[in-house]
Amino acid sequence: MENLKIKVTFIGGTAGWIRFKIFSDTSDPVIVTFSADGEQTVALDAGQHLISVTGVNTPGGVKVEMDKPTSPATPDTITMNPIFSGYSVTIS
Amino acid sequence: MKKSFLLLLLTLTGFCSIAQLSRDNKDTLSAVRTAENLVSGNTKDVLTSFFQLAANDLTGNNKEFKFSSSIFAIMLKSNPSLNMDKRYFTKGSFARNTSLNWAIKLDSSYRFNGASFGFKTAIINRRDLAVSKRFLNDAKAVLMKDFDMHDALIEYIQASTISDTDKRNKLFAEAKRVAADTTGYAFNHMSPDLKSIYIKAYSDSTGHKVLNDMNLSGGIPSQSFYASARASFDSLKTCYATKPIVVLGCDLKTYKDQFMFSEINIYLDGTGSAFHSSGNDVDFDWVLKANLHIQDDSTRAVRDLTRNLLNAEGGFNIVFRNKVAISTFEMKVSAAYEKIFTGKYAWEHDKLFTLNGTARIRISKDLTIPMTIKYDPEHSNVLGLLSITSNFDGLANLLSSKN
Repeated sequence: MENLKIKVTFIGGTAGWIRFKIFSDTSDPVIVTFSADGEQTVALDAGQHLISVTGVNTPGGVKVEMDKPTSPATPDTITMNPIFSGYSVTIS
Repeated sequence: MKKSFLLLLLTLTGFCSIAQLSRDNKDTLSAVRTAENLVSGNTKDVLTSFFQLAANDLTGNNKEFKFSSSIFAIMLKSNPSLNMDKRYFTKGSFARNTSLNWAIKLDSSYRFNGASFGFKTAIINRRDLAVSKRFLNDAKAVLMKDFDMHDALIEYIQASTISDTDKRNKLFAEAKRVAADTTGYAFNHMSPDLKSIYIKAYSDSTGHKVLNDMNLSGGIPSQSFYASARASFDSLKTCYATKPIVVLGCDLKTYKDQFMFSEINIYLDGTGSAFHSSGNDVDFDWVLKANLHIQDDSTRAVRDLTRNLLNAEGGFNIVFRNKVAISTFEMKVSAAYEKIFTGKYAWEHDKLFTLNGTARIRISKDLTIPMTIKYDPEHSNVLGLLSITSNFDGLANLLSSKN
């Protein structure tokens, strides 16, 4: 089990919200939400995890950073509004 | 000195015109435009649009140059990155909610023929989506079903591909592409494997509470998550374009032959939606206006500001919209009160109460024609007025499209 740190920065405006729902082959989903800039850490089992990303964006988009290699790679700024995106991350 | 001042203003007009027509910052500026998305003719009168510029009758006898903009828009011209800076959305509220305008008139010989200056600031503005927590909560409530469905789809991909990483990656990449599809092509041409997962996700009745809560009868929708949610999101934004807005402003006018103020108008102007139909086709807005005019008494030889009067009006405005939420016809019913404190002309009443009706018909995207009828119940007078207002964004857009 390893920690995954997710950092979120809303660009322009102040009314944004983003949710990460992290799925696993072996355990229940983990949900992480942000309504302001910040970072949170979650503990994940070994294996590949798909992350569903949804939310309401600010005018300049939201910058998403994770401290593990992801597909697509981070940092990545999501500009679509509303947000329907996702990442894949593998924990060794 | 006066010529230098006029030259400076005209130069600024040209500069701002070029800047306005530039497409370089179009995306950057769109967010601000959205914040002031004034969609009805009635609301358009309350707070000027984002960046307006007009030159009227340049070859005629009454040449006029007009300019209006928010302070924030002017700041953006020199520093477009401000629109991406969160500090300016929290601390720059005054700049985003305050607009300035001026107009210079010249006669056929290009001599000064009058000027006007204006300032207005929104003391209440519930339409600024970029900072509205209420809008955020409403948007979450409207979109949560789509968000949960997106989560469920990804969960199905995870669960159905435990022993096949390659298939998982392929399905996940395609699912992201389909979810974000705005054209419908990716959605309508999804792979059989992903389509199978979509059908499972939407027809599941045992394993996922989210899907059960959605009470779906089976089958898949006809468009992507993004397209579906975007329609709901845009509809909500339209609702917020009619939220309450109250502005406080001041207009100054000069004499035609002298750069000296002949009129000062201090005003309070507000409107908002009292009722909004779920189909976005009918709005019922409240309207409130109050004006304190300080004017020159034209019956006196001397030029001073001794004529003072107060106008107040309150009423309702019914807006009928077309399928794309543009107002096509509006009807305003209001009661107005006018009180002349000093400088009353001989033919005027020192106070007047009227019942008014105004109809606005949209001729084109940027042109509405209002027709006002006033009824004075005390003196049994009926007065009809016809005037035309236009949003000069249309002119700028037209010029921009030809470049």
